[in-house]
Amino acid sequence: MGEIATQVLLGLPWTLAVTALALLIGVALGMPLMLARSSRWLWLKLLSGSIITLVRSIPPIVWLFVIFFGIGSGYFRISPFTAAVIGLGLISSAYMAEIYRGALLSIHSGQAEGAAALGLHPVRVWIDVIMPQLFRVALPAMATFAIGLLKDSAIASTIGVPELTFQANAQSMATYRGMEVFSFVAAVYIVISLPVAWLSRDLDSRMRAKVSR
Amino acid sequence: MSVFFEQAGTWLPQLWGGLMLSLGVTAASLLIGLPLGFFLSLGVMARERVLRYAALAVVEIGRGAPSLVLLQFAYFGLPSTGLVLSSFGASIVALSLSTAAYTSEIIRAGLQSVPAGQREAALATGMTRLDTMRFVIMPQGLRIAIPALLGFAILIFQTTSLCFAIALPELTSRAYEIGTNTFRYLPALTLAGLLYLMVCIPATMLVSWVEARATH
Amino acid sequence: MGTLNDSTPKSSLVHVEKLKKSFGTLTVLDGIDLDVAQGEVLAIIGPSGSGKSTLLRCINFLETPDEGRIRLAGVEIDAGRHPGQRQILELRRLAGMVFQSFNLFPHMTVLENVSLAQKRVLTRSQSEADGRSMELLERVGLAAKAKEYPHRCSGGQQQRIAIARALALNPKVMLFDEPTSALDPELGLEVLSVMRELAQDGMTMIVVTHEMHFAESVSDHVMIMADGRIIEYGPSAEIMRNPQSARAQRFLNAVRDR
Repeated sequence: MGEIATQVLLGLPWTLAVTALALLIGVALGMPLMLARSSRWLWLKLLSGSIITLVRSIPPIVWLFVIFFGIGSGYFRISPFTAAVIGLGLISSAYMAEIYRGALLSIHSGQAEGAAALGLHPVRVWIDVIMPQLFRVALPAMATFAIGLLKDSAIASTIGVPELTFQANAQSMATYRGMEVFSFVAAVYIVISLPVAWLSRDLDSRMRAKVSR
Repeated sequence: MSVFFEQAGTWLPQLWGGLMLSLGVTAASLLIGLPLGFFLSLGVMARERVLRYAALAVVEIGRGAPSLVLLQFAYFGLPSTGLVLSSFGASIVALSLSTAAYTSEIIRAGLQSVPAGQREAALATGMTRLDTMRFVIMPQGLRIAIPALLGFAILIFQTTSLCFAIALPELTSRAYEIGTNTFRYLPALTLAGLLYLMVCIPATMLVSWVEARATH
Repeated sequence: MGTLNDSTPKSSLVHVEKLKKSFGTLTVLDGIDLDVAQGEVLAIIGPSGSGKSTLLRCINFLETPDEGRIRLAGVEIDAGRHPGQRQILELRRLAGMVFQSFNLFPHMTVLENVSLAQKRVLTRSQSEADGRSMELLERVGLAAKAKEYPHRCSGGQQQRIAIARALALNPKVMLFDEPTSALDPELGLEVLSVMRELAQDGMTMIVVTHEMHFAESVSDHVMIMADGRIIEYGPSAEIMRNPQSARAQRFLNAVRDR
């Protein structure tokens, strides 16, 4: 079993890499997407809204297939890892945009007004007053999403990324000890999400104090 | 472009069959998982420590393990204990567990968000804890939980796409199959995507409508 | 501590002995003794945090006291001896409670609100229960609202319905936990007049309240609490005008000067 466990754990760096990169893309792209969604220009609002709905209404595995088999097989050659990161990053952006939007709505409107009344430039209001609070409010939802993303990264195994689930499958087929292998990998997923959950709970209580409700 | 539509025509029956299977698995998992989730939520809120820990364990496993791993466990893992399930059976077992785990948390949140005064008023009249739960807490709590439960149902429908990995001929695997046969992955997957949209978008709009009505 | 009621403890309808309750390190009730005779109206007043509400909620065991004994209409419970569910239920059926936030069941009509406990606790039939409910709703002046849902009624109306609901089980004692604190003064008046009528009809009542006028005019005895203890007790007119302790005097002045 120890042998099997070590083999399975070889997938851990891949799992973490896919998750981390997809999360980064989501955190970064989610912001412009959210701004577009809340913009005053109708066409931009509708376009970004449609993109978000589209991305969230199609299962992640289909997106990965589209990128890897659809686009990747024809014109460009995309590695499974790249396809997984792009696909999951795209999906993360859509979910992050909605999380940001929810956080924005819950920040007291008085904040923007108070800052504007002080004569601050709108962009400065955004950067210095709104965004810091937005991230603090959004943090719990972002943490929950990160944990979900960690589990969704298992989907990358279907297009050949050698992460945890991929390794587990390989071991199961090689040793016929599917029961133990899959129990083990399930436990690994549960264990690695614990630190994120604890961290989020800790940060959440500290951040709460600094946000005006 | 007309070629696409021609091909789409030939593919549609196949994909449609896959869609029906996906919906079937979704319905079965919800039918089994929701009642289970309700009992799990009661278990998590129970006073007896043994019951509470057992329920918590089921919830943490059902939520903590990726759905794909649960599916593979049911299909590839269980046989080594002598229990062999078809891909359909394994899909339902795994997704029911996942449904039960997630919905138990949704239901628990709903029940606990009923104002404490409600419970107190019922108890003050001498009603038993059971009657209080049955007539006062549950009707209100479950009503609160409905939008989130509906949202989750949509998610489970999307999750059936993972049953591809355990050889269930649902929508995604049919699109993939067409792709491997014709090398026209993109059109096939696009069509499958459209079918998913066809279900998910109206469903999401329904959930928003229910949510809006609930907070009148 | 003020002098206790004249009548001997045995004849009192509600008897509370050495009641203690702490939340963690905070002592909320520090040894309370109390007797209420049948037909008597007791008003409990005092500053916030004095333990008034906690005392009331201990009487029907919505809060579990740490120590002490409670005897209500013959049912006796010793808090120290881990009372069973059945005893507590028995006690609760003899006491009706009216809450500050009304706590009507929003998913049921007014009529259903008043009938529910009758059916479940007294096992009355639907028609019997509804008949009694309509009687009570008439009594509080809200029979017309029977088929409405609580949210379509004003605060004062909801509280009167809550009173009807509490009366539906023919309680021996009515417990009121700041019944008018969540109401506009105008709406509060309609509730207070229902309570006054109840008192005149001979109902035994224990009322935690900030309504000084009610305390003085309707209640027979007044108890002033502060810091978990009884600092004054006696006939209402006397206490309200001539409290013995400085603490009580301070409180009454503060309330009067608003």
